[in-house]
Amino acid sequence: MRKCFFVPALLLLLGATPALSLSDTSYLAPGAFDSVHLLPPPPRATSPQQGQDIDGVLRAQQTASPERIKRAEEDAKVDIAQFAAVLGTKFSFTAVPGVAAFFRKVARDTREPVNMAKDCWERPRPFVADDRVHPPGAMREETANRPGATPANSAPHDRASPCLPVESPSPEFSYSYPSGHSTFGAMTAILLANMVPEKRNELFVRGWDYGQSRIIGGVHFPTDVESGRIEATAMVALMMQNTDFRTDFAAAKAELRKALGLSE
Amino acid sequence: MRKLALAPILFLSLLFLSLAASPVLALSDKPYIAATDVDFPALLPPPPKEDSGAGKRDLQAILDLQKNMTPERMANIQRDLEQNVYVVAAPVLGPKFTKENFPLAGEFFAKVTKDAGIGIGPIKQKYKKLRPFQYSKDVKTPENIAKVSGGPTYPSGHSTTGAEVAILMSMMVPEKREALYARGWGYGVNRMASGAAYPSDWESGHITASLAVNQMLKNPEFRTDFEAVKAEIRKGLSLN
Repeated sequence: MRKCFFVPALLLLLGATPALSLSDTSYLAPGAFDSVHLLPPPPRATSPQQGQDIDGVLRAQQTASPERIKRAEEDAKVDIAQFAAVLGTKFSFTAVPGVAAFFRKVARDTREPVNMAKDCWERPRPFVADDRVHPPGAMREETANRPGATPANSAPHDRASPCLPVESPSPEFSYSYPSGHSTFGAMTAILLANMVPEKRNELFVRGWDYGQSRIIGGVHFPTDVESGRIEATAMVALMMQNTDFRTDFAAAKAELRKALGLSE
Repeated sequence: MRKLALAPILFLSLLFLSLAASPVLALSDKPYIAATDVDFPALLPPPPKEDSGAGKRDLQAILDLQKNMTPERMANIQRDLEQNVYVVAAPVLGPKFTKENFPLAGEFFAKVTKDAGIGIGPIKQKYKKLRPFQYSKDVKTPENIAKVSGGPTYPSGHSTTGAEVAILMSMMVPEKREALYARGWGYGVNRMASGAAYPSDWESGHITASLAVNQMLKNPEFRTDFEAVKAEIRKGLSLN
């Protein structure tokens, strides 16, 4: 009896949300973005560039206002809802489920190159590399590797590869370079700005600021953030050449613009 | 009579000899990238406004770079005003890396920079952002550099060139990968220290270069030219 009640409810739910049927193949072919060769290597632990990177983190931490630090803590969430500050309260998962699903797929399809670059360089986080760096709130713990969550190192470490030899296969904290949060922030900014060009400036400011949050939080170096942005832009450029991506992007864009009450 | 008959033969054989002696590899006469390949204006962020948080950080970074200027640093800044592969890569590949010894490399990288200009040019014109030294009197720029740096600042062409050389030369000479990247990125730092570019110009130059190079690598004619240049460089540097 109870079961019968669910069926119409389910149908109603389906009817209410004309779910986007997204492509079931990846927007980014495996190996399409060679993150190992196309990004600069991070500074070595003993190099002057590493010193500049640490100075960059310390300066950002010292000069950030309490409100800005609070935002850095909030930006630890990898969530498109972090862009609601620009697009308004109508930009929520329930109001735009298709858009949310589209961004989840983009995140999934771009994960491999990001992880591979991280595994290539095995760079420790700023707060691990220098004890003057103190992440606020829970930001330090949020970068901890959950036991068993990290698969085996995915990068090539043979002699032909520029990657460093595996030294710490199971570090306490996930690797620093490049910044996955910055990749997410930049990628989301670019895609949303192409859906809602009316808010282009604000969306890019938010997406780039998202990367700055990681430096202020002491969980990423400036070079991690820059390479995260390069990676994001390169991957979006490649996805834009994929027909399935363009179809799904257009559908997500239509849903978003309708939800925000903007013209088609 | 004899002279007349011989002249064309002599001329032709000399021509043939000279062609055979130096197999002049001609680069593709088509652009390595087309304007429709990559939507640069859709992908690159707008530059920060000068009075925004990011804009103020940008200016402060230039002022910090200009502190404690030494004659050596100024000499490097002046050297890096010139924009070609020899200036960027010779500090890593050695003093033998010159136009005379590696002519094809110069042509190739000049073509890469020129062709990637379809990415930068429209964006420079779209925002027409003032150079740091044009915006703030606190920024000190040598007169000769200011004189030739009047165009819009965003994105930085020097940083784009530095990154193009770093990415591509690292694929040709992977033995020097780390130093080439440090130099390619550092080349752009000198441009900032000269007061002619902001960090956001620098970053966007790197993004532009990555986008352009990623796309060029898919072009078979580019790959052919790339392999020819790689062979010239590795042979000339006695690398196997």
